[in-house]
Amino acid sequence: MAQRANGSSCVAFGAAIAAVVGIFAAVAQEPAPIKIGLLLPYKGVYAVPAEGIDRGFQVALAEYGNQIAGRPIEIIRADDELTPNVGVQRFNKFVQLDKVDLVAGVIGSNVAIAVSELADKARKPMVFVNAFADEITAKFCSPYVARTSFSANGFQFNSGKYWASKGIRTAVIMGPDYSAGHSFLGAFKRGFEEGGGKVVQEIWTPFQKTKDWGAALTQAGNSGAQIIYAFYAGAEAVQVVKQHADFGLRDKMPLVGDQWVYDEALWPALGDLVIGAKHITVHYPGIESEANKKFVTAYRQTFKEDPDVNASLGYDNGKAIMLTLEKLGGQMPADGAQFISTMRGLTFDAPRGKIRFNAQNSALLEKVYLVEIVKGADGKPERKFVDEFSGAEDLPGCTKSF
Amino acid sequence: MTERLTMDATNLAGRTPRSITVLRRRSYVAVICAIALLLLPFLSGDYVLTLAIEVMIAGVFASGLNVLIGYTGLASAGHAMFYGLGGYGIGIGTAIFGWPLWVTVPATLACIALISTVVGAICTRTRGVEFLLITLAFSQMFFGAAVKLRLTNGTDGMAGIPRPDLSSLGVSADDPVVFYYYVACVAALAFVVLALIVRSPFGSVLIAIRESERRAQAMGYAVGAYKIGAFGISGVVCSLAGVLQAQYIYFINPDSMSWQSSGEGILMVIIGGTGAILGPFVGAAVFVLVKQGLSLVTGEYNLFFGIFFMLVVAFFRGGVAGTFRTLTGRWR
Amino acid sequence: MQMFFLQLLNGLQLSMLIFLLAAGLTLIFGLMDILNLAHGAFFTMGAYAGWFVSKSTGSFWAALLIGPLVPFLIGALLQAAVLQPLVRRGRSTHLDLALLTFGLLFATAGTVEYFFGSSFYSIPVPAILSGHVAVLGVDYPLYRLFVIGAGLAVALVLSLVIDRTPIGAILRAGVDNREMVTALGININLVFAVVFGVGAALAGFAGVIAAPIMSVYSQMGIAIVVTTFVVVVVGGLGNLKGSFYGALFVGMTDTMAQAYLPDAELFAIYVLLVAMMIFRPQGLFGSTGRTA
Repeated sequence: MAQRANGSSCVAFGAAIAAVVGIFAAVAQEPAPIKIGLLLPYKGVYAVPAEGIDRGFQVALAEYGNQIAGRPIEIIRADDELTPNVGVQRFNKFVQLDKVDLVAGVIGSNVAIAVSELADKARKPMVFVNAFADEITAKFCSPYVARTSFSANGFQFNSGKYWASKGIRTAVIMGPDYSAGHSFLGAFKRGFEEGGGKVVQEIWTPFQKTKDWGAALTQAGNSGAQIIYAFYAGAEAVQVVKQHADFGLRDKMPLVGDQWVYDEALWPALGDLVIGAKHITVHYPGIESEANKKFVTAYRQTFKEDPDVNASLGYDNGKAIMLTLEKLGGQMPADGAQFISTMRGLTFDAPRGKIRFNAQNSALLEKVYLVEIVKGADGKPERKFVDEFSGAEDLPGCTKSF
Repeated sequence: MTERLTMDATNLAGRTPRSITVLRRRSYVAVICAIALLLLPFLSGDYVLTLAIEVMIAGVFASGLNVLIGYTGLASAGHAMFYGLGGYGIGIGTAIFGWPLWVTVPATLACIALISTVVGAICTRTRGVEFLLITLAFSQMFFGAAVKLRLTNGTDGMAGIPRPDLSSLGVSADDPVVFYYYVACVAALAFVVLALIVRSPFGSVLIAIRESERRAQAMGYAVGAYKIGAFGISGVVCSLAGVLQAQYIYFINPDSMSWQSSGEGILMVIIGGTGAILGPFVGAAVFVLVKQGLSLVTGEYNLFFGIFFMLVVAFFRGGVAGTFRTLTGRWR
Repeated sequence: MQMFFLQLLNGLQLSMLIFLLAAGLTLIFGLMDILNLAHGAFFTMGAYAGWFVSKSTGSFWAALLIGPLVPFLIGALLQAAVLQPLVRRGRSTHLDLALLTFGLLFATAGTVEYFFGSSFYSIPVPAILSGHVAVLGVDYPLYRLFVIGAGLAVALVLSLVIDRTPIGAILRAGVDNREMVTALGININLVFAVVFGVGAALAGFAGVIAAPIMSVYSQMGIAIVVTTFVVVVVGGLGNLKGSFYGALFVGMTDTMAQAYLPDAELFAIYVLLVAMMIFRPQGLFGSTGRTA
């Protein structure tokens, strides 16, 4: 084909070049996304709390339009299967294959302990959403690890004192035999006995392996205590509450616990068993505060139902991350520890109250609420405020300084 | 050019003759593989190294298991107990006794040798299905003990397991590349030792036992002692894999001893082909890569894992190495 | 004393549940020499099928009757279409088949997870069986007494069928000498398929019955399979009476350990198994002539 250089083809050619350059320029301007690896046990006994946390996390990010300083936020999810070995593999994948900027999530303290070691060695910020075991910010503390929820001691110590102050003299504690179970119930026991009560028996059930609580509940029923104070979550909570009722212990020896034993997400499975149950919680949809109203409204809009406590924890996790990124101007510092130390300096109003961090990067609990589940006007269960007290300090044990 | 060797009965003490061509061909492949392994860090990124490390550790575990399953014909469903005990040995030695690694590792291996000999002495009194179940029972016993033992934090396991201190060489084992070479060296060592063992007269007797225990006994071999020996050797090698794994993730907990872990080991041996030396490594590679690949592609890993398992068992009788074997002439 | 009696009941209830599983497994092994590691899968299938029926019809009894049919069909089909051809083709080493069924166990967990998610479901206890009964001054759930009763009833029916009926005779003959049974003109393949199906149905039945107590979830089969094997070996492979007493032995050991020696909880039944294998490898009622 004969080519003739003439005016019009020169212009066309020039326009084409300009267009291509323009496209390249535009693409080059597009800012790189910030990648967050979200590690949660989407399958297994904690699947329901995991779902709640994921939703709350999404709500927090949506507040900022899923972007910061013009950079889009990309969430990469992975399932840690509530197993440390798997959590470690997923963490490695996040850091080495997906090249995330930070890792968030992790419910199980068992996974958290294994992963925090890796985060420390890989110098990658790890922001735990739950992982309440005290050791995580004590013995295993690290400048690369933060926790946006609270420590077991912070939550349960004053609960123990509270129940002792309300006339409960004896209790039997029952929980899963792993770090979080020991931390929670250990804290309760310390507070309870400091308040003058006595824990007459401790029953530990194999974590994730117990399916029939008959033997444990029979022992508890036999202990002669006034209450059973328990910590269980997810599927284990459903079974414990049901079997507790099966053994006729509902009136004889009430099952007292926290927001996971009577998790709102489990109410459909438990039916009327939840009516009359009293439990401590860090959050419930009825809290009268600006931050909570905003959160509940946003959650209702997106998910057409009220947020449960897991959603509020997920929200706090996402909010803390976004606030830190905002403070850093959307730029991840070269040293991951700087990200964590910036987060440590935050103080903000969360749906549950004010959140601030202690020197070991662990968030502190301002208030703990005591609620009772009652039948609402529409026949459905709802929470009624009964009392409140403050959260406690964390246990010491961190030997590193940062 | 390729002489196909017919599969006659292996004579007990000697070796079957091979053609030079097969040897040469095999050594080419071996050299290529060795070079590839050496250069891997420079050819790829951190994630590939991570996979390679996992493959090698799994390969050591599968090789140890193969001594028992492939060469001796005893299918153990509980060898993950040694894998886990290796990791716990390191954990207990360094964290609770405070010994340095160069003391802890040999001490661990020595303890495992003792334990596996004792356990082996009990288990090898049975065979077939009963052997499968009694090894499973032992591993569940150790698993239950590990879960309940407060000294080692029960289900939570022990974190902070140290990697070797290579500061005298000027490098840190925390660096993925350095750790890769460390694992590669250990794996190569294990591989060489195992190769020597299975090629020795001892190994030949094991094969004889697998083919026909009664005949071997009739020929005057103390079959019981050989079986215990095989059990012990495989236990120690499996525990070495456990040591590496614990160092890799700085962590050990009872899940490493679960019967699911043992099952995965068996699968690797089957995929790779029983009775071939490199087979277990190939099986480990296929297993690790498929597992990682599946988890990247889908969340329904259990389903595909199960189907994959079944297909392998149903169709890969000789394993991947077996198929390779018939293509390039005899391996041993 | 009260607590001991309660734990005795708990142990009995667990024993009956395990017996239902072990019975099927031991029949399958005794007759066909197949170590069916997928037995847990039938437990799971039965439970999910039962849950589905209970959700659709609202009836527990319908779930109990219809639920086990699913594993029956799948089991019979598996045996006839997959396992038997493999055996015929000479790939019947124990390891091969055991592993194949091992893979099936995971595949089943994955399948139910895919279709039903990983939530825990429950089958509600029917009104007449809910509530508790005063036993020796303590309240014991009525439903658990029902489980004990059901297990005993099944044990009775099975032993009657095996000992007193022609089918039972064929079964016993087949366990002793398979070739002879074929030589007598009996369609052994059909017998195998049906027995496999019945074994699977028993496991499914156990799944439905256990559901109100243990919940229905994808990993349920995997968790219980190892305990079942301990029972089968302790009782003697292929021996139904053995599975019954083995189940009692194991269930009691497990429950009592949980109650009185919690540190030995996950441990005790395996010590039992090892001891059994050392001192009496053929199990309580197994025959010494059996080679694996």
